[in-house]
Amino acid sequence: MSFSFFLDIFLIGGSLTMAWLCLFSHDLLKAITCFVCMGLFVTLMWIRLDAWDVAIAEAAIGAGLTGALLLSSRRGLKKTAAKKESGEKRSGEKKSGEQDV
Amino acid sequence: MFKEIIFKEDAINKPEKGRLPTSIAVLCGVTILALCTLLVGALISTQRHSEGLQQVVSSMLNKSGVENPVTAVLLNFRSYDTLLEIAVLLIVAIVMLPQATVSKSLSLIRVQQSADPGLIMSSLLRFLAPTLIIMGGYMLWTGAYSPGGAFQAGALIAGAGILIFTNVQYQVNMQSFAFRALLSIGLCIFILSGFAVALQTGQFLEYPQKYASAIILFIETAATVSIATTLLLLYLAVAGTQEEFNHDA
Amino acid sequence: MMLSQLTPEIMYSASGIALFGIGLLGLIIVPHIFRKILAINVMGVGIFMLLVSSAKRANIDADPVPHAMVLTGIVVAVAGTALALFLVKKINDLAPSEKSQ
Repeated sequence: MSFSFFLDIFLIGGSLTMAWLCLFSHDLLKAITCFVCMGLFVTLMWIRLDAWDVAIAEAAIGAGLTGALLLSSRRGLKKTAAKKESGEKRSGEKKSGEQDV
Repeated sequence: MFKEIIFKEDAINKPEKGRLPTSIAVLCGVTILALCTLLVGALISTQRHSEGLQQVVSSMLNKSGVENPVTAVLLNFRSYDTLLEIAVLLIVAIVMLPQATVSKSLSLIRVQQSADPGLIMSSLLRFLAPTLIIMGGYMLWTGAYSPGGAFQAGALIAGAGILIFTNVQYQVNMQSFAFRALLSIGLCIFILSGFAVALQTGQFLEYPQKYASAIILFIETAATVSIATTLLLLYLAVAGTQEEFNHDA
Repeated sequence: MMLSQLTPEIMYSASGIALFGIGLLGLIIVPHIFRKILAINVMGVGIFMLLVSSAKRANIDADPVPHAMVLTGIVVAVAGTALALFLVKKINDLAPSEKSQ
């Protein structure tokens, strides 16, 4: 029972918890945050496995860029949903897909 | 058909809609748990007898032109993988381009001087974006000796690009010829240098040992530019913030 | 199983399998389209973990070939995720809103 054993247990437990929360929590924003957190835990696990190149790529692409993609996509979906609802209230004036920019 | 797929955010709070019945969900859970237990059991009972490819790679490393074994595998020993990966990225980029037409007269970047980015955004732009780009160049250079390389450098530069173009002040013109050229330069240079070294050595993508280091750096630089542009395009297409501008133009 | 057999590689491989299982479960039972994309990503991370932990050896340096494969895989995974999110956005723009059906 050494320090590195507890570190391994902590990293594995953290990443599994984050994966579970990412898929089964109620709030979508929380889910995306948990996904990014899981990416960071997995980055540390890859450093433990001596995979430095993979760790850098995961931190930059897997956690950072995917998180940004998911967040901006969620915002786009919310915007479209709001636009559709407001388009229905003013029914007949405009079709829901069009924009009045 | 669209009734089966749920887009709205609050849908998960209503269990009756689109959710599997609890009994079937529990059955799925038990099946997957059994499958995972079986896999872990198989993993523990398997003895490792092969030595892996570590010996082969380290014995050939002095002929590859680089000192980092992962870069040697990516760009020299298994460069077909990387070539096809860059082709996959280009295909995804082509799918996500907003329009099929290209006009040579447009410039790559449009600057709106009148727009005010705000204090936080302008200071982030001033300090963080140049740091990210320099860090990307460092990653590209250091990939030959220590962890790093074209993908990490491309991701860092794409991060800087996202920071710049989420700003209202700068907009990238996806219709311009320069943008398409940046997207495809990585694959073009990779294939061209593959054929060029074939003239010397007789094999596609088999570098002559004397120039291997320079050829790898050349290919990696072009690939970095393409990867960064592609990742930036992926973000901008998913975010949809530049769509209005690209439709107006 | 003896505790002395519990090397870090075995633990990380098992956690990769567990991540794959969590992702598969989420992919099957969660209806939200966004969670399905997240679940596919979690499954991918599990498979990468299995590959990288199989590259680690006890006393010598890690095997670089699986590292290179995983590095390729991470970039392709983020491209696939972005494509999926883009298709979700396009379908959501075109689909009629729920109330008008």
